[in-house]
Amino acid sequence: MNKTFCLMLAMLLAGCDSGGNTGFTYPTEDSQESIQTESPLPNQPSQDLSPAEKLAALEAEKKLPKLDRNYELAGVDEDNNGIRDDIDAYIQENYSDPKQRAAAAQFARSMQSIILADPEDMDQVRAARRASTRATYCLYRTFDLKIGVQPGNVSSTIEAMTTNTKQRIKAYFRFHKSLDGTSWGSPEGDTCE
Amino acid sequence: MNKLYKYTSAVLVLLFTFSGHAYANTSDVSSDNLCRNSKVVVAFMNGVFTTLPNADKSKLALEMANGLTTESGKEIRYELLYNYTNGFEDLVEVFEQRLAEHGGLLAGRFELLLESLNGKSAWWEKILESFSFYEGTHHVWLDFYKTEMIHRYASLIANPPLDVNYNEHRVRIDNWALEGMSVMLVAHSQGNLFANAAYNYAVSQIGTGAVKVVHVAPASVITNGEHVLADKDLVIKALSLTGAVPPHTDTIPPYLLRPGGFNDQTDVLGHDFLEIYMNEALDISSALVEKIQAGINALKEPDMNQGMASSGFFTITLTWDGEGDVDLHAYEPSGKQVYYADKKGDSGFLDVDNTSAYGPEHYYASCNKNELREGEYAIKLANYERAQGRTATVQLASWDEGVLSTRYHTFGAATGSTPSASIFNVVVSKDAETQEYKLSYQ
Repeated sequence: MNKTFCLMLAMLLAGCDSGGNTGFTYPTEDSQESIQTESPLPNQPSQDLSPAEKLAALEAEKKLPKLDRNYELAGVDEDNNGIRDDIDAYIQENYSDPKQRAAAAQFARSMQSIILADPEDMDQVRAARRASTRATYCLYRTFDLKIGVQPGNVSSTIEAMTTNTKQRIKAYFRFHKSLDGTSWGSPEGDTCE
Repeated sequence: MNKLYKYTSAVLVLLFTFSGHAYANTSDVSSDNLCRNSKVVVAFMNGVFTTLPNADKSKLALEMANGLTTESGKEIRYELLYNYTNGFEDLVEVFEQRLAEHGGLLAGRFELLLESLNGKSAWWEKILESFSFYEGTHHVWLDFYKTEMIHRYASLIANPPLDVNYNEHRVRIDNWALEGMSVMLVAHSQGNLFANAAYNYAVSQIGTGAVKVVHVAPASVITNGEHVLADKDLVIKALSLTGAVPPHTDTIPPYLLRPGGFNDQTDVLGHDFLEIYMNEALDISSALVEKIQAGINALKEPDMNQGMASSGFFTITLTWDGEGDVDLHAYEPSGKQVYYADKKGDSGFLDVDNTSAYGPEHYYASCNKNELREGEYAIKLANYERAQGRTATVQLASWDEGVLSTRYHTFGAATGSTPSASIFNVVVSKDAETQEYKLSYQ
């Protein structure tokens, strides 16, 4: 794993790429301008870091998530598995049990389908809603309720990571507006895919 | 589009586990019965600013706490009647302003928005540890959020829904009535205002004894059942300054001493359903569950419309908005046409027929493996007579997952016994490997 600190310019939104390059270009959401991040400064004492450097350090130490902040709604999904690659990587790294990893991935996929659903198309909205409900039930079926990470925490974290840009969280809320006045039940049996 | 729905092949015996393990309900696959025959529904009506996962977790928390059968052994099922809170968009705009503070250090990090709504949590705590100057920003943001919650809740209190203004919810209650179910409503926050309307409507359909409601964090003095309110619920406290609210029923610890709840987070506002009212580490959750269970166990059987219709692997419920004779036609996989003149099919039954006005009509597909046929069920409508211009509401529901789709059709001229509109093509299939029955529709 690349332990190098990435240095961020204030306000932006970056990350270290997997190849260990020391800087890269990332588009901003609003202006679509490109901002060049600077090279990391390894082993620098934290008290000497600027706020932007400290923030980058928190990301590098995985205390804060390092997320795809692409202005596109879908973000990057190179392997086309329905999960953004940054969230995919988070799941792979944080859940070692295969069943828990699969359950977290199912939930992440359902969150992504919500973001991408056409809020005017109620069939799409209902299908995404149902996938999310089944995925939530799968989390509670898979994660222990007393020991280790809690299923509620898993879903809250992935939900927050999925809605990490203005465009994505607005899409998420638009979806909820389409759900207004609908109803649904509780799936029984095994809802894991 | 083609949506795939899976069902377990049978669910007669449900094993309920909660303490120290994952939650699971498992089925007795040896049975011929594909469905649980529930006679009680617990319906949750969510509060202000509730996202889909939290709405589902609220329903799940109720399910875990109250179980799947009543004291007398009746099966319970759980449903959600969802309402949206206007103002989510405003949260985004204001949060963006907060992120832009302090030189925009956190600009663009919208993942912090949802995380912040329940109080300090992992990412925010790291930020506040490293950048103490964000304490003020965080505080101002939560203040805004609280104000917005109060504003949205107060707006509804000032103009409460007097009727069940969601068509899908009303048809769902109609369906419960048709199937002879007793109803336990559990409402949180602004959901209480919808619950009052739903309660009155349900009482008109199935009688007083068959409907109960428990109000959680209500701000209206109008209640139709027991209520639970925390002494440090800051949202309701603030609302009490503008009007009468019910008295608090339970005390909760101050914020800094408050344990994490269902999401393992803490709620600084003391108002959240999952982190406060269903937080099993707080006494208030026991009080709430006791009231719900007492309500469930006190439910009487419906005294109107009882047993008119059966639950099924899937059901179709038709209603319309005035006089006229509208007919539901189901074409089963065997080719059998099920309608008013021939109500018994090979796989299902038209068990409710209406010839004068409003409906309902109701078709169910059997839960018995030996009767339910795989294949396509074509659901169609006809304006038999006098229904030109009427709009029909057609609801497709499954026995466990509730409403799968609601569609509408406005009729043209009468066509007698010949259907004029195709509404659903429902496909039942069985997975050869898992033996699971699946339901899809177009």
